[in-house]
Amino acid sequence: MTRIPHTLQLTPFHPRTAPLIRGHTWRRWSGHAAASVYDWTHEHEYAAIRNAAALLDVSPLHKYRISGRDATRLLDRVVTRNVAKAAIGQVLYTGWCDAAGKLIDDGTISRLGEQEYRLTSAEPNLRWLHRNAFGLQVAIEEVSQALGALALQGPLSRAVLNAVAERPVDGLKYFRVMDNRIAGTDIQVSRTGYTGDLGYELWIPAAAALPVWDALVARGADYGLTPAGIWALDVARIEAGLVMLDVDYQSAHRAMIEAQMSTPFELALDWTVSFDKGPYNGRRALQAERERGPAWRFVGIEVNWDSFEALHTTVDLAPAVPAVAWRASVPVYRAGSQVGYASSGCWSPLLKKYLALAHLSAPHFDPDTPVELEVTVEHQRLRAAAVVRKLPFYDPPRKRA
Amino acid sequence: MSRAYDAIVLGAGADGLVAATVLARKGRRVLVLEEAPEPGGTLREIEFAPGFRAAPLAADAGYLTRDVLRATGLALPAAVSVDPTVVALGEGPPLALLRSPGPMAAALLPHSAADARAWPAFAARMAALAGFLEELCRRAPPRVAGATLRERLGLGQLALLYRGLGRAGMVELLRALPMPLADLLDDSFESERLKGALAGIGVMDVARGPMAGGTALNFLYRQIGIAPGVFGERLRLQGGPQALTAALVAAARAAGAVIETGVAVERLLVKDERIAGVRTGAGEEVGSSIVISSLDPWRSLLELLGPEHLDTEFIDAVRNIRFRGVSSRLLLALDGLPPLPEVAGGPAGAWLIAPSLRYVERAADAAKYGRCAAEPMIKLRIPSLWQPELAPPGRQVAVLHIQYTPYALRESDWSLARDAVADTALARVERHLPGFTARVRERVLLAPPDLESRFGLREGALSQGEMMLDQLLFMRPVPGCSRYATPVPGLFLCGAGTHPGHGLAGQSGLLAVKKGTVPF
Amino acid sequence: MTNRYDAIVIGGGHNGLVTAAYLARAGRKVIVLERRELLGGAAVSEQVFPGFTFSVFSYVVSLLRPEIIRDLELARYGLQILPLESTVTPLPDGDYLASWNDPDLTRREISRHSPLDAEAMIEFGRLMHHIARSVKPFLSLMPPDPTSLSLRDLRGMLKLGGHLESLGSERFHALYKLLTMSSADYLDEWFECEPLKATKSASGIIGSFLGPRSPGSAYVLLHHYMGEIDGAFRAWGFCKGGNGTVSNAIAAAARSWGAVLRTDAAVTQVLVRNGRATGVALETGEEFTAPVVVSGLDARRTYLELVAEKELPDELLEQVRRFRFRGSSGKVNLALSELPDFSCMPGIGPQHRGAFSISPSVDYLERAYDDAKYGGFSRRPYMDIVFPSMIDPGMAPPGAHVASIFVQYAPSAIDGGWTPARREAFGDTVIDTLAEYAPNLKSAILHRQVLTPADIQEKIGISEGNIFHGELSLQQLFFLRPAAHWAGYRTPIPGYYHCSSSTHPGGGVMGAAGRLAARAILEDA
Repeated sequence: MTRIPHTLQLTPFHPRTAPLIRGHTWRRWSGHAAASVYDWTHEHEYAAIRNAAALLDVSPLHKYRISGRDATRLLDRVVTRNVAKAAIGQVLYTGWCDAAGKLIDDGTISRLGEQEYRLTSAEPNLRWLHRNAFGLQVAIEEVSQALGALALQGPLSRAVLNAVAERPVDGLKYFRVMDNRIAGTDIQVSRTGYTGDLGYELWIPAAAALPVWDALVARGADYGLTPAGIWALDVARIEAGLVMLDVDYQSAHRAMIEAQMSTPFELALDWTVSFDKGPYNGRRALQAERERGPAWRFVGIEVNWDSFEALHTTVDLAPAVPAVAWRASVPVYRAGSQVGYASSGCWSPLLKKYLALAHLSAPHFDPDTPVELEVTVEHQRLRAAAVVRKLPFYDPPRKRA
Repeated sequence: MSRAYDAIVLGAGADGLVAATVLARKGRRVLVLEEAPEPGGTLREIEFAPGFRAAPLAADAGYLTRDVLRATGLALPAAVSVDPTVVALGEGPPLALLRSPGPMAAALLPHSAADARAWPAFAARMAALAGFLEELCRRAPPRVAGATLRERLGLGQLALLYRGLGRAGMVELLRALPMPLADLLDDSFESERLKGALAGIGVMDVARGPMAGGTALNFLYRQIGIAPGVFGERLRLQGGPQALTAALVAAARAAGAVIETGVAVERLLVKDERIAGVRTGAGEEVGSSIVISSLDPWRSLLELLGPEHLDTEFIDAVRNIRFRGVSSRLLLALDGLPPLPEVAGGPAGAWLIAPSLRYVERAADAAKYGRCAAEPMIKLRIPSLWQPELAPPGRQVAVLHIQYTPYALRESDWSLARDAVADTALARVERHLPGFTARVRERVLLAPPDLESRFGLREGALSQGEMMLDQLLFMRPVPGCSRYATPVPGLFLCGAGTHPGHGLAGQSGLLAVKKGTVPF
Repeated sequence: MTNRYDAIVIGGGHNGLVTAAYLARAGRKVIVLERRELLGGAAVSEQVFPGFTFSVFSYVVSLLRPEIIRDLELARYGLQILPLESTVTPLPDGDYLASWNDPDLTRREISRHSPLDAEAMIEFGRLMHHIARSVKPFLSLMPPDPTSLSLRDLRGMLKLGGHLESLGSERFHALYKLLTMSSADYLDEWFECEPLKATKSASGIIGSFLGPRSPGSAYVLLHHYMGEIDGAFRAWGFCKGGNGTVSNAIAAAARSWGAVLRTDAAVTQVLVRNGRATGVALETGEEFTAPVVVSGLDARRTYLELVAEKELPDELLEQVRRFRFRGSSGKVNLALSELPDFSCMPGIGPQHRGAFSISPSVDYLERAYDDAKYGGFSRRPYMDIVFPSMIDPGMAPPGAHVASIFVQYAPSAIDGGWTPARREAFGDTVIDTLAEYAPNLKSAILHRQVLTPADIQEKIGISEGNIFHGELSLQQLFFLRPAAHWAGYRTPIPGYYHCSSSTHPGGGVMGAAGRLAARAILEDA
């Protein structure tokens, strides 16, 4: 029998998500078919993230179950955070580096037991984990297919979960994970997400994916629960200042030249780099970088609206802002010379600002530094006044509360 | 720490002892730790049957460069010259490899007139090429990028030596390095017996057949330090290989080094990412900011040091080192001298069963598929001819080198295969030397796993890392880490696993210590 | 006299044509003399059976230099390279391993066999890309003579050293390993999946007399990655109309600049007067004169057959005699009534637009080599099968198909010599082996053409039928190709040049040797 796959890989929620998509707006995400947007536009989906509750299928994430005597040792060898210090039930956001301290990927580690973890990542990392496991007693199991994942994000996400799940999630603190049950299925709920808002991620056995989805959608209707695609997510994550692999940085394992690689310091992930643990990949290089200070920095850029508008007025146009977040390399200038580049940007419907995420070289990355962002107006490359901002742009107290 | 030294050397083989001697002669307090009950490493003799001793891994003492002799002030016993060095057996009359080109050419005449004519030039060419290789071996490997001015000058010097080979020699060297040995021999000779014998000598202990690329280099490497025209034998000392060990131990002790045998090191101690000493199997911690390990790189780096101190990329490089022991030794207690073919000259250094290129290649084929050769290449030596003390009076000791018998068997395991390998080898020898087996009173087979456990050779490989072009020079033991220092400050490597590899006794120990390499 | 030219090129193979085209472009009056009735040498398309067109010998375009495509405007003259999208390796257990043109699809497929390898592929590809970029300058570099102290050679060596140093140690070491290791060992460092390693290492043994476990076989792994980096993306592909189109396009370019291309003109001798080449003589006795004579034939014929030994120094003769050809591959061309239906992937589908590789394990390839090493053809050969009519329907009548099967090993020096019976036995072995994977094959065969190294030598002249004009082993590359001191396209006879694949950078339908030879000739003028 022929086994040539006919379509992209489908997530366990595909039977439910497919009928919702109205404009055939599929895109690829790690070889999977993923919705860019379900509705005609993503405005309502974005609004749900900030105003009610949004349900996102994030199953294409790579997931690994790591267990065995040396599970902690393995992770502490690989990632930059201190894993041994994490409590059971805690979730860590962290990156991991090669020997030169260049970031390979980033993701979360959920400590599920004394020596049991779940690692999520954007790209496949099984081989890197195996290479690092040399000499260690540890089992590394890829559970990407076995485990579906849903992100339930938004101010009402807690209320939705409480209505659907057997155990209330009121006590679940920020970056903690708990066992729970929905529609008779054992799942795990972590208080994590990629929106910078109150939100949860649900880790669901693939076989039980549909009942869980159905239960969430059925009860969620009362709370304005809306399935949302990548476009909505992209706007939210830019507002939250969250870095994205292959958009804002390249993996050290994929980049063609060193200049294309980034360190955690350059990506403003200083807080994820621990020096109070034993040797790990990149430690020596990171220590040296910490001492000399990073050459680059990942920052927010806020475009000066008056300047932006004026550039349009001269050609008799109203300022046009991109409805969908862009992912491109856009030069950033200061006093006439290029000092860096923005890698994503969008109009923030919430903040009513034109925002971008950018890499700026030293010493131009301090907050409030005046810079200029290249904008294209009527086929002309122009520069709009902008200012460096500390990330995140948007950080509601409910995220952690 | 119960005690502390300026430097600790792991392993009391030639490389470790030379490193210790040179350091001690510079006034350092040096401790040598050897796991085996006696020093000597691969030169070591063992008693394999009551009253019968042999050095299973050392037919001779290898080769000592003038640098090693000078740096250690070694007092060596007299050398013994054996002629013929090797007698090649096969169907028809044996072929003796004689030391001097004239008689050798004469000995070749019955086999091939053309080969007899080609012999002197071949011998001279090989000697010239080996001479250049010796110069490479005398130096620490060149660095590709970031070489210092002095290293560049050294490279310039090598370039001059290279030019010294002359136009034809320069071409020959470039051609020969990556070549299959079979092609190199086919270029000069037609006699299968001669080609088989030279091929056998060339690929001895190499996990490849003579038709594999790069084996010409193995052949040339073995010619380093030998007089032109001599094949299959290096420095043979009165008293056997053990005599070299004795001289090295004496030199080390005279310089003030402390040698402790029967002490296994269990772990290297690291403090603040620097070497701080060693912990022995008995639990003793000995302090030192310098450790020089002559054990194989895998053992030194991944077992004694531990992967946690190394980058993943570096660990992968160490894990990628190919060891691939392929030869076994069959130690035989003989109740008298076996019948040996009549050849001109004295008793031969060894008798070789490698009757043709194809024979050797076929034997090697088996190893590719994880099997022992059904028709192995065999080298027989009878060391008691020169060292009667190895056997009780009237008795003899024989050592069979049997190849190819890979470390990792695919369809069997060594607990089952040992007897078969010994039987096969003896049957082969009996075919060429009728009456031989009747003399055998006891036999002990040391297969690659036995060599690993008894001599600390990973996978039973004498080379501590297959000596092919991609694992030599600046690639040895791993690319970018060939100048004896390791990523952990204070830890240095020497031994066969480092440049220049197996066969040049003590040279890596000397280079590891030589000025600049170990910071003193 | 009409037989007077500025330059004569012996042999209308693709390298000879490239040299001729470049010389003509530079304003020289050039004639190409080809023994056969058609141009192209090993890059020809012939209607072997009525209605069925075959790329009889070479059958894919891999490394044709993009600068040649641009300089000679080959697209204008009909060169069109169509994608060869996939490689499917059928396995004895009924499964298969495939790689497709889509990275996600390939990753998913390889993950089925080994998730680790699926990831390793990506990093491996990146490394190969880097190494290919490091090697690329060598392809258009005239090899200096490392034993010479002439200014030109010293400068060349210095440039070379500078380039190697500029790679940095990591890439240099990677390149060095690739040059010196066996493909099996090299791939073992990266992969665990047997068919994956075998299929990749198969590209390392093509045209050589080495097994995948012999050091020196890793280098050719690089070739697959070379085409992707130098401005001619998808250079690895199938030429519309067969590989003869490559030759015809070059020929058309040469003609456009006035070159004369003559077929049925077998050169038997290069005329040398007072130590200088002055022209050539044909089998018919006809003579052509020119101050420049270029041989597009392999080194053995260039030096040992076309000119008298006395014109050449002994050291060169000795080196050429030792230059190893040892053809090791054969070819089976089939006219088919229907496409083979592979049981591992039943039906006709996208897989037929790519290659099938019979390379289930490294041991399989190594055993195939063992047979050849001892003088027989492989009882279970490695095969690379493509169906050109699936890519270019014009190659066969509607509904019918052609298959091109590259087979290794078939040693030129087979025990007892190649006889018609042995050739057919070889052909039967190929068909029998393939039929195990595609049971309808035998009944689909309308015609078959079996080419052994002896046939290749007889038909297109290449010594011992070596498709690369001499093994691409390290000791026969760069400044040793075909002989030290004489690797720069010039020969000891002034006016006599060498442009065949026996010179750097060697075989494959690359054209680089022809271009560099033209450069040397124009430099000397």
